Amino acid sequence: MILAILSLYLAFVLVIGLASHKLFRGTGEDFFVATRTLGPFVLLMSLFGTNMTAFALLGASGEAYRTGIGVFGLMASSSALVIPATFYFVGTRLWSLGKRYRYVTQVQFFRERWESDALGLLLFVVLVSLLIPYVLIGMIAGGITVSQVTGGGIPEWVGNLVICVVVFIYVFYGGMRGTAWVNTFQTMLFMVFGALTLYVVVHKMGGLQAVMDRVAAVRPDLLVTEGKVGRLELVSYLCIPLSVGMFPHLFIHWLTARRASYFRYTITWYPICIALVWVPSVLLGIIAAAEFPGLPPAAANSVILQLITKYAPGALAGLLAAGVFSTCMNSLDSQVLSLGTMFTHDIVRHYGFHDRMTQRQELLMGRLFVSAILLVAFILSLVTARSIFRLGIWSFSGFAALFPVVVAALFWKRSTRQGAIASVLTVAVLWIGFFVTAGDEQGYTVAGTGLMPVAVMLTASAAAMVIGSLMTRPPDRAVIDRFFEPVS
Amino acid sequence: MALAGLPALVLLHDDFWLRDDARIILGLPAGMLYHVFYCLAATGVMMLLVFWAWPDHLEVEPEPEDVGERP
Repeated sequence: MILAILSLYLAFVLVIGLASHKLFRGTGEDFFVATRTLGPFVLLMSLFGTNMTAFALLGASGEAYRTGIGVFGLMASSSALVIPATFYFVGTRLWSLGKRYRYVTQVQFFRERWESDALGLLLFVVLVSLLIPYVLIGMIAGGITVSQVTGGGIPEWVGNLVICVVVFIYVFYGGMRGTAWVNTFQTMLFMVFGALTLYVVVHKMGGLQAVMDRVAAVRPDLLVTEGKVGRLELVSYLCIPLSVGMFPHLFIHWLTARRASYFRYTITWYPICIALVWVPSVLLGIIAAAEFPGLPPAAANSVILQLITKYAPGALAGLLAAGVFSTCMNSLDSQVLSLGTMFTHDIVRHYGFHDRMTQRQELLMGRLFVSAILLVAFILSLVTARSIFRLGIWSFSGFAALFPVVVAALFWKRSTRQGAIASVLTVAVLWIGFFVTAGDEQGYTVAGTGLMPVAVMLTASAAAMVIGSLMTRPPDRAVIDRFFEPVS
Repeated sequence: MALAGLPALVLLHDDFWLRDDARIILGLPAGMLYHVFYCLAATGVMMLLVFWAWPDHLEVEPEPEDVGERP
């Protein structure tokens, strides 16, 4: 029954993705950014869905299982403030410049903004390297879902493969429009099913008050943040959502908007959407801690699925598992598409064809890269063991630390290519250093102070940008006029 | 005025006075309920930004048809 419902759900996703192909205009720009024609509702749903992913449901509930309600303040409410504010200050400006100068990747923008091929190539390498762990989150979560709901009958690698194949089909045929449509459907699905899961589980356990009394009796430490989340950690976590300013997949989603004013809906409703997804996720995590104590870290990532299996068997379990499945694919599709877009435009088109590719060649190249990236991600998912949440944090931290680069590009006329290169290199070196130092340590902070590595990287990145820029010759007047006149 | 809401929210994010408060209010732990209301407050500030401080100058009129690739 569960597998039948999951299969039906996947078939429906494919129908939506393939239906979008009817509007396909056969151009590279339509494949990569839907010819910049999406409306406000699809923009909100696809941006939110792309950003939430399996991290918000499985990763957050797993972290709530370990550290309690503090995870809501760490990631949810900080995102509710920082992400829409970043859309307001950064997203709208990048959309405007992207529309004016027909950009489809971040690297195109940064390369022209600072007139530097070297910077473009460096950013390409860093962005792709940081995005790969994030891609793996969706895939690993898909495998966990299938394995869990079938009681281990279907191995995780089969789940990973199924996700790859489904995403491949609708991205290959539908491009960005197919991805945005599927994301919209899936976002509505997991918002509803997160709340439905909480309702069913709590109802079966005797109501919310009874459930909370049980948690208070068994794990009272999970109902407070004292002893679980340090104040410095809470403050420095505010830096992590800045990563949306540098996510390649969010950049191309921003470009899909038909008008700047369509961002109004996304900016306004984003905090509410966050609360709708994270409240059930965190509550289910702490409920699971009282229900299934003593799980190892890797198993903690599937506590929602364990609750579903125990309290919502049969058809409902299939529907709820489909909701979890939707979060897994929501970001994977956009990330794979953005990587394909970057390989096509920033490497093949820029270096191989010097901007002389035909529409057909560009389309073919994009689809080939999407296929190759999915294959590589699938292979990597088989050998990756780190917990979903930790993978996400390292990826987010790297992107967040690059935030000064986009801020300088948009708001600081005096910034130079040398400053930008210094900033990116600083992030790369520090990220590798922290990653190696942390190893598999849970809750790593800088020298045990409670300070998240992202805060140090962000500060160093900003300092490198300022010092590098002030020590070098200011950019030409023509470049300043080109990038600041339209938005000043 | 609308922009002033952002630093205010940054300061209010640290709910230090609720760190060891394990009370259940409206079915939720006190610390979590606070952050749910924080999300609602963030929506309010975003509404102020969108309605009172919207960057109209960024608008680029949509093309009637696909204009093709950048040169």
